[in-house]
Amino acid sequence: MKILIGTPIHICKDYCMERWLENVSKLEYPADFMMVDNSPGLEYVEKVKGYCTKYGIKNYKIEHLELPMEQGVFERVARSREIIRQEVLSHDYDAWFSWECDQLIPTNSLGKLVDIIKSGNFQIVEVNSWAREFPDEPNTDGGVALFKRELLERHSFILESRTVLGVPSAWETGEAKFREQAIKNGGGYVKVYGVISPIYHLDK
Amino acid sequence: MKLNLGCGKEHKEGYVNIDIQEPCDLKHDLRTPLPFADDSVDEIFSEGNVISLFSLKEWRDLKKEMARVLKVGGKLEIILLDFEYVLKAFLDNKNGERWGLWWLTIFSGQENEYNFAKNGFTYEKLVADLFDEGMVNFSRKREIGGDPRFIHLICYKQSHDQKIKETMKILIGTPIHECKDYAMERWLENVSKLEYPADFMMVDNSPGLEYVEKVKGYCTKYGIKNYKIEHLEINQAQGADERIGRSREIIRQEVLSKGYDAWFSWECDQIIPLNTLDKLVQLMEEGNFAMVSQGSWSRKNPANPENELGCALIKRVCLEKYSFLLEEYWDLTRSWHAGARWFKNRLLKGGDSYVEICGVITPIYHLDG
Repeated sequence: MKILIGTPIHICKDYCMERWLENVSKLEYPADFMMVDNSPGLEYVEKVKGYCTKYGIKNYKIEHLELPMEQGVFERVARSREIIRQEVLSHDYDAWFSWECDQLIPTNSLGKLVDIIKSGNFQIVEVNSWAREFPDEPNTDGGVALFKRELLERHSFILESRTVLGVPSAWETGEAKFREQAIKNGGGYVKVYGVISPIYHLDK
Repeated sequence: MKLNLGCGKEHKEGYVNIDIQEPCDLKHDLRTPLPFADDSVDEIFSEGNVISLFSLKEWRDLKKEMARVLKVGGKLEIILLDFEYVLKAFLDNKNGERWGLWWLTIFSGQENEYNFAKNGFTYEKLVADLFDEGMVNFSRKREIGGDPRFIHLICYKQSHDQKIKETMKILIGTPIHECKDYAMERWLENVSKLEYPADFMMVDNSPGLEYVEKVKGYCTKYGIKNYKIEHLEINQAQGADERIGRSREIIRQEVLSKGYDAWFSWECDQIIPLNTLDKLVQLMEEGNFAMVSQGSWSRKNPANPENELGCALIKRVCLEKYSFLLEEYWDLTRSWHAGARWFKNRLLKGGDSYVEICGVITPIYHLDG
């Protein structure tokens, strides 16, 4: 399975970026790596490149998306994901590994997810982390998830399509739409709890 | 068709002799997928310690490939070094050959880039690895040609469904109540047709014993014989969550006391495909999950999938650790979902893993009055 690790990044996550990139550098499953920076200006791109050098990450691509900051986080993340989606589609990847830059995971995580997605021929495998607001509550919101290419071929991340559905902007509306589509496609999705452990959801 | 994997110079008559180096019938790198269709090979043979030449990952891939191409009932025969024997022989300097025979036996001849050992097996390890791929009926021939260094293993491929049906003893267990009578007859018809062999228990928490008799009548109508029905008399003012929690606890005790491997929690208002339990068992075994829960659709919000033990397979090990008594729902307010959420949280905190699937088993009809 040819996989792209694709992650929107922003300067507001700099508190965890270095630890996360070290984690990325140690992931066992061979995959390409793309970040889409939606911070204001180009300075943060250079800083992240420095982290990559420090941790020996060479096989990566970093794009910058300049957006007015008043558009809000959902718009920034969705448009960044859309760039990743286009990369998956145009470079023949079999799947997108969505991995938020504030989550530290075991180095064998991606291999496990690949095994699971193959075993059930699922469209999505989502991994639980723990909600930061409610630490007792397991949370699966696409922070660590594997999406099959065929799902990305049918659906984009641009927000206009969500408002057509009448769903208000929120962290989870994009994921909900993809889950719904996974069911319509016939493969279904799976949420796994405790399979990938430990996961650290970093906070300032 | 028969395959001789990593044949070297030892070609076998009637086999496709495969090796990375010629002469051979088929030149092929065994670190890549075998060029044969699924279920197309009658027999696979490998000797000369070939499989120890693969790294852990390469061996994982190769054993999957062997299982893939073998027909159901196909034979797998492997002759290889007994790693434990050889290590002991090295340590004991058996026959004064520590740095000769035994060193070479452990690390291979290394006369070319392919002949380097990267792995080692005992009989038990090999059985465990191959069992994972659906191989069964293992037998061992000791001391091939009088040489104690080798183990000689024979096994056969069995269909995954057969393996599962022999390995997991399941109780279908369901709290019932007369308020669900609108769904009960259709549901029991569904139960009667389920393909996976399982025992069946209901716990009636309706007021009085009348509803038990009515349900027995439904069971007779649909030819259900292998079942048990218990009655739990409980103050109806206590509410549904209390009634269900205590009914589940009775089911849990049945699972624990009767040696069941898992409980199939199946609400009596959900109509499911007949192969549902087979699929859940398969997923549970493949991922070694403690629980597999299939989502149904919320009746209040039909676009919203619900995963609240309405159709879930739960391993015995979970039930050994956690009960369903409501007193223990210490940090959740009472609701339909409190018991299920509490149970899942306890699983996670206890270090177990579970999966929630949606759209995998379809269609599911969540009946309403």
